[in-house]
Amino acid sequence: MSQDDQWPGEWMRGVLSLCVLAVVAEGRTYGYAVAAQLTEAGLGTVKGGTLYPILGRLEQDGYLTSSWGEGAGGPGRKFFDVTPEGQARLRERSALWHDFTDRAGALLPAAETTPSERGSR
Amino acid sequence: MTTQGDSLGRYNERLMFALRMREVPGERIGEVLAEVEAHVAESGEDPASSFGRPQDYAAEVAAAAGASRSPWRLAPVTVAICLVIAAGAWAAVYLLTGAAFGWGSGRGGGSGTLGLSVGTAAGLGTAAAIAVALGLTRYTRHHQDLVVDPRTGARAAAQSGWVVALSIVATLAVVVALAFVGGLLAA
Repeated sequence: MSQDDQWPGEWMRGVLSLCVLAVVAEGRTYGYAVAAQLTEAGLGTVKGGTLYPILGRLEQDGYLTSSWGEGAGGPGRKFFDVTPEGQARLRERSALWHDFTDRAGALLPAAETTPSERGSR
Repeated sequence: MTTQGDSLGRYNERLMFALRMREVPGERIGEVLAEVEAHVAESGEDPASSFGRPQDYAAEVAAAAGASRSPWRLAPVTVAICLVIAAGAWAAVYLLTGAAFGWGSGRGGGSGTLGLSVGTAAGLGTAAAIAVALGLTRYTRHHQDLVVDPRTGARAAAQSGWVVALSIVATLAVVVALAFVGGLLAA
């Protein structure tokens, strides 16, 4: 997938929250770094307007906690940490996700038959 | 940097207003504004390109917050504002269509603005006042629910007073202008 390509929106809506939780579970981080890491992972550009409501909802559900700290010369950063509930949720949902994509993948035609631009990845 | 700071300030002002109108708690508004500021500072992007239009982002935030709407409540300040607007509108219509300029009075039956009687015009003024008051009710009932910057604990720039004052002045101006134009047309 090329740089400015985006995955289908409905796929992103389905999995983005879990991916954000996974990024935060790797260690204390903040909004912009989460967005950068998602891009790094090949999920495309995640806008602030999409990311922060997801972080807010994860915090509201008790999967994350947040606190404001010093930024690098900037106006401060909101740091996120995963809670034990968040860890449990991530394990449970990740297992489900793999099961789900395995089953869906088994149903779909093999990758060789998809258009060539997909095959180049 | 000045341009970015300016556009951020304008963006956050509009976002704060939109969040207020959606009755998001002040504490959460402070968080959201600080998040936007921090994100824009890191990414160097224009706030609108990262977060979309302020009113759309406010809708997103309100939906994520679970839209906990508090029951309808009329604040005393809103009642007072409504009375001031109604009185001002009535006085303006009366002065401009009647006594002050003599328009209408010589034309039999006190027809005034746009051919309406003074009473009807005053009624319209009152209706306008009520419409403004309904909007202000939503705006002012969280007057005590301050927007606080989570990083510094400082109170965010008070915008509410301006909105209230501007609404009153704008409504009165519209009523006076209508009465004046009506008077000119009738003359």
